[in-house]
Amino acid sequence: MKYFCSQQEQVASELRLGRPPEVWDETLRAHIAVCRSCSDLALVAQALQQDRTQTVQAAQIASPGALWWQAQVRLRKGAMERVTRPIAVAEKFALISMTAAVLAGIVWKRNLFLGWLLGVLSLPHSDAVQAGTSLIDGWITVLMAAGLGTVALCAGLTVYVLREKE
Amino acid sequence: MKAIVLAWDYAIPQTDAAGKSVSTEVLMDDEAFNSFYQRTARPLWAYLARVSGSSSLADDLLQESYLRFLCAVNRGQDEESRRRYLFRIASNLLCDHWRRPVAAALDELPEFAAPDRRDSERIDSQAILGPALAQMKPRERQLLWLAYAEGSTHREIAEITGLGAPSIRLLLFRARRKMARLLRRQTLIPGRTK
Repeated sequence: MKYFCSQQEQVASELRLGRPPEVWDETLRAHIAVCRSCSDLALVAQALQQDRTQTVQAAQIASPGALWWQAQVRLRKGAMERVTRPIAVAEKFALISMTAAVLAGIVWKRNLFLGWLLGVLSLPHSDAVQAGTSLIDGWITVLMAAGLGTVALCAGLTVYVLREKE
Repeated sequence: MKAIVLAWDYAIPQTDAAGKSVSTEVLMDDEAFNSFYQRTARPLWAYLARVSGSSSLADDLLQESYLRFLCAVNRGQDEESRRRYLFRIASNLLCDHWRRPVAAALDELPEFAAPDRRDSERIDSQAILGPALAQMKPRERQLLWLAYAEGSTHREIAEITGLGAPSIRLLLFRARRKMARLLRRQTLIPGRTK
């Protein structure tokens, strides 16, 4: 079977015009009868064209107005996201930095923090408890608690304000 | 709603600019889109339905295709290039859909695509064409439909499918031969159509 027949273009152009083989000229019809490649082309193209005509007629399509409106909403949303992206990034960065700072503080002063925590919970005494207990009354603990409280308050306020704006 | 917009405009001046950029992105107005949609929606639906083998999937992909088309910045200048661009979006969505359940290349996907019962009962030609199409690979159905139902040239098919233009001729030849064989078999043994 030939991969490409010299008459194929002619057959294809007849098919593109939507003319059935019955009305083609004699030589082309005679060629179709002997050329497998061209007869395949005619068979497949006719079947698909006929199916397309019927499918297109049967298609039930939605209203373009609704699509237009949805596209406008999507475009607007996309534009807003582009504009507010820096804020979202800054917000995440602030949250991560704050969490990291608190965690680093806890790790750095873990013995003091543990002691203070155990003291608050009134757990049995240990070396850490003793170390912590001595600090409970100290000004460092007060500052630490106040600092943590302030950070938590500020973070809460920031999140609240941003949510309100959205 | 308006109060929120005003608050944003006050807080972030670029919001207004973003809104303006939206309107400049929409190069096609409502009426132009309506007429473009009326001319292209049915052929696009037919393409999606026949290549995917599912009317409901075609409905979903048709909607998403137009939404992406409308949100795209560079859609082409003339009607033909816009139409090709739309078909390209639809083809990409089809590929995405096929890739979703299994991570396989389009050509390696199974040939089966359940023909829609609703259509096969309603459309006469589908009785013969449906089973033949169902035995073709999605890529083959795509190429055949674009070439012979839509009448696209090899260059246009390459643009829509993302395949290399030189390979289209050979792929089409193979797909056509396979389809013709299946159609002949269907017409020789009518009982096998169902």
